[in-house]
Amino acid sequence: MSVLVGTDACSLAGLQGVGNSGLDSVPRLAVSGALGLALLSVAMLVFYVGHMTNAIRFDTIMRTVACRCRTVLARDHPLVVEDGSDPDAADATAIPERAMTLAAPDDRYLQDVDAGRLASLLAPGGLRMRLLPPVGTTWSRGSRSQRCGARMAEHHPTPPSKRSPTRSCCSRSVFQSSTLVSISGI
Amino acid sequence: MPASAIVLALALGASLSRVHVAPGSLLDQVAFKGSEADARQLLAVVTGTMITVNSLVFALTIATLQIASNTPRAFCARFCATPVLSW
Repeated sequence: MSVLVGTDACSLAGLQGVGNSGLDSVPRLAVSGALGLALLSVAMLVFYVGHMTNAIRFDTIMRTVACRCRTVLARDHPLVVEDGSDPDAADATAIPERAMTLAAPDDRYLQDVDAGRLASLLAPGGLRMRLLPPVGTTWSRGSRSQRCGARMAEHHPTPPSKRSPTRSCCSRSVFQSSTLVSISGI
Repeated sequence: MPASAIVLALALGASLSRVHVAPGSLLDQVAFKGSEADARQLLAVVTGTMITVNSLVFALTIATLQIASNTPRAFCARFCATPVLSW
């Protein structure tokens, strides 16, 4: 915005100087400067449009919220574990052995789950799948979407997270892995 | 910020208008070489174009703010609908 209005003002100032300049009748440098600013304005306009379209994306806003949430939690609820381990790193759900975590390849929204097709794909291999995020959840790239492995627990809706008296973390769902936080007892 | 940019640009334009470019100098190679009428027309075109672009940017900003103002409601609905989110 500053570049745009600055270009406008510079052009006006140069325009006012045409014919009124002391030594030259043409303010050659002012015209060149206005042209340079005009080119810069085009670049800034493209950047601005890209920035604004990216800023109002839901994924970007969610990432910002998650980042600020982590900052507030780290500031107001510092870790008090004696052994230095991070309780947020632990998953609230039990992970069976030989289970494999599938990470989201990109920013996605879970719109639908074809349970019948999933079951038909998993049944021949004796596999079972536990769906971690509920339908309607959005998650960022790299967050864990589901786990599959042999002899896993029955498919069931997302269980309630375990909550400690002070602080607990549920690592499945909206935000990046190990970032979704539930607080109780505060 | 835009207000200070306006002041700076006005000062820059006024000062550049008073700079004499010596023939054969380095500035002479990058300076505008048209006539007085060309310079007046060019600056008028740049000024008019910039005003139009400024209007576009203002409109885009207002539209973006309008869209962003509805975002917290979407957040609340999504947070409440997600069972693992609670605090």
